[in-house]
Amino acid sequence: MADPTLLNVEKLSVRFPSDRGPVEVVHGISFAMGAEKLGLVGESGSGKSMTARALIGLVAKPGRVTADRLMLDGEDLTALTPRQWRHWRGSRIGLVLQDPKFALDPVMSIGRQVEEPLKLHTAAKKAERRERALAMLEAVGLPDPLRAYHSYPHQLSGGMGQRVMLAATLIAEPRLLIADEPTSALDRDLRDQVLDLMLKLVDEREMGLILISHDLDQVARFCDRALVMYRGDIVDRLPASELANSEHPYTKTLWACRPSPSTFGTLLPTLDRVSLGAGA
Amino acid sequence: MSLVDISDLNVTFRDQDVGRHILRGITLAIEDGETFGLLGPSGCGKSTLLRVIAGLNRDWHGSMALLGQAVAPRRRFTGTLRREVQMVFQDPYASLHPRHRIGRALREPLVVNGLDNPDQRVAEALAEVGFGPDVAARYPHQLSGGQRQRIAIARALLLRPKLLLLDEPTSALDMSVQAEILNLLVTLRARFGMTFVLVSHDPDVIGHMCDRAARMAEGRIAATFDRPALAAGAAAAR
Amino acid sequence: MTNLPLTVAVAPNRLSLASFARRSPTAAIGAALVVLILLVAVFAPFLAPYDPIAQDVANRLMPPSAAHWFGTDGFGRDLLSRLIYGTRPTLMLLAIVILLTTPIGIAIGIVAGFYGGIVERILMRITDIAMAFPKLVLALAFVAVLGAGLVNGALALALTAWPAYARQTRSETVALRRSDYLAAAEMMGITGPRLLFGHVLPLVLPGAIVRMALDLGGIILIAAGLGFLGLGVRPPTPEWGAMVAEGTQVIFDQWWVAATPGAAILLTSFAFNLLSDGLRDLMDPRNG
Repeated sequence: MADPTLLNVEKLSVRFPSDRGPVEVVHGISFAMGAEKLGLVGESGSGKSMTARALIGLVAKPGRVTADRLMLDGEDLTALTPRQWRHWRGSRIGLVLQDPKFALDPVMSIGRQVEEPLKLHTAAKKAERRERALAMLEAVGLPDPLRAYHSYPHQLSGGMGQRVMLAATLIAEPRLLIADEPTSALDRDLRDQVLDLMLKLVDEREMGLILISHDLDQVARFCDRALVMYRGDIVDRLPASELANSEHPYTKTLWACRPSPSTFGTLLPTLDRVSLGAGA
Repeated sequence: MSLVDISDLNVTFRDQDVGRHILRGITLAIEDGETFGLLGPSGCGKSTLLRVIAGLNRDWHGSMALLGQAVAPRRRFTGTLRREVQMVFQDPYASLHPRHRIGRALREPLVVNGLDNPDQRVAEALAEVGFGPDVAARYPHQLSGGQRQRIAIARALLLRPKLLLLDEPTSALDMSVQAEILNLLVTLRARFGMTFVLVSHDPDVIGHMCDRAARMAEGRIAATFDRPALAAGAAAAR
Repeated sequence: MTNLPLTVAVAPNRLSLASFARRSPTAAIGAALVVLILLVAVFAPFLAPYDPIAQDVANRLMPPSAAHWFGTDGFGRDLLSRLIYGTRPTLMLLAIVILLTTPIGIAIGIVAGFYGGIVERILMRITDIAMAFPKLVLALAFVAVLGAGLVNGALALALTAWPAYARQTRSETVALRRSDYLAAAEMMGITGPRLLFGHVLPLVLPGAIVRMALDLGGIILIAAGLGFLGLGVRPPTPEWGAMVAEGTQVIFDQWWVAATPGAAILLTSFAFNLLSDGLRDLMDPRNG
């Protein structure tokens, strides 16, 4: 694990008002990471996506984010104004989401979209932007970067769309990349390819990566460490390679409850929600 | 005598003037009591095939026999056939009517099919899937995804089907909830002696649940696997 | 399999009025106004200070005062009382239109959308023909043939208003045909009227209700137009449109004679528009 702390989070909470009073979807969690690959694992309602949004300042009103400490690269994120956030998002923290279809503008060419972060966050001129965009499109493994540069999103297949997303996200050289279920919408065979690419780029640039996923196997294979979230809390912290062997009842069951050819004829282990404190 | 006997089944779709083959020359037989899987990428036709067997898609050519009787295309299923072939749909949010309470959703099939003691049967159906009778007063939006899928399963079992068709029954659910639903299906299958046809894009679910499976591609059956093949991981292999 | 408890905190079954108001203040205000107008119509005899048709020519065209809050018209009749009683023809017309239009339009739309084929084509062509008639012109024609009166005007409006519901309902039904709700019902052997009225209707009704509330706002204006042209209820029965017509003759000196019924028309139309906007907000995101 890299030493200088890239991200430092202390008592991060996200609250939403509701008919029954304020509901906390993230309960004061704390963690730190360096330039490494951290996996955030959990099911729906665990708070993992909300945590990601809080880190990138995208929790919409009426949600409220509070934290004792939220520092990226030594800068205090809780003190940022909306204007400053607009600069941070894209230039210091990048976000890759599940479905490129909904993140790419259908009426803008790929080239323009990949260049856009440079236009917003740097002083690069037109020629330099184009050069860097083409270099980025090549770096993400598109076979014909020039052609892709002039294409539109609907002309790309799913896997290519995610590569373009990565290009656009990494071009302004953020320090931290958050990827929220980046491969869930892809066919199985493409998933590993896209993740390998992501890891390669992250390593090359010595960035940090937070990979949010419900797929434990994926996190075990691709991440250095893992945080397991359940209903707003971090319930388990361990090296990613140890996910299969965790003693924590939730992690253990989550790992073991997956079906496979070898579980044929057996009943799968299930969560004892009552004992985990699910209650009402 | 197979429970499901399909020979040279074709389904075409007319788009403007071009005919597109959704299913081509499908031939398969499913035996009484087995769990048969259908897997393949999106667009391969597995869901269409399931809907043909369900009687929902009646625009087909070829021959099909279900539960020992020949089935004609363009005819709705009626009587015993209609009762004994049931389906669990993929999205629990989309197959339970949002404006009907659970109790009504479960009573209606009993009433329409002339079964006696509907209230008692509804309570039993709910108990079979792990609910107390009080959930009958709820609306679907008040339940979680896994709970809705349980209700959908309870509903499918009301008419005591011999053949249960499952269209990606756990794709929309979390891993831990999926495990609960798969366990429920396995338990009920044994209790009522049903034959399953299970469609899934997930080879692990197929490998866990099925005795045999067929992989489909572009409207055709590309390969079939028996249990030893499935146990060896053939479903996941490319 | 052991009996599992319901582990999800289940929301209460009925929405309280308070949460309804909170979710859409627009709908709440609109609804409140509509209810107010309805109450005024029902309790008119108790609310009106004077007999609306009692003339008092000595006191004609008096400005608003303590005795007559909105003044008097050209025949010395109290304007406030006439306004209050004027709610009745307006609401009566709305009721006739709603009762005739929406059920017919929805029924045609559902049948056309569900069965498709030749049935759909015939029904939709009939709908197109009916839609081609301009509302006001048809109303004038009806009245010319059948004579002036509230019911005739209402009939004419009803005959031209139903097509919009049929079209909307049909396209919603066509979309529903592919849905799993209906597929699941079919698996259970539920067909025919039970399917159409028990399953399809509840899903297309919200859209129709929203449209209806909006339409009513417009129909009030047309009804007032008919009254203005002298084609509504027979005088001396108070009706807002007719009152505006009477008031135009003295509009420069005694502006209140035309302005007060005009304001009533505006307010009522506005109330229905608000209600419709609010209902649209309520129906959309909550669903599913």
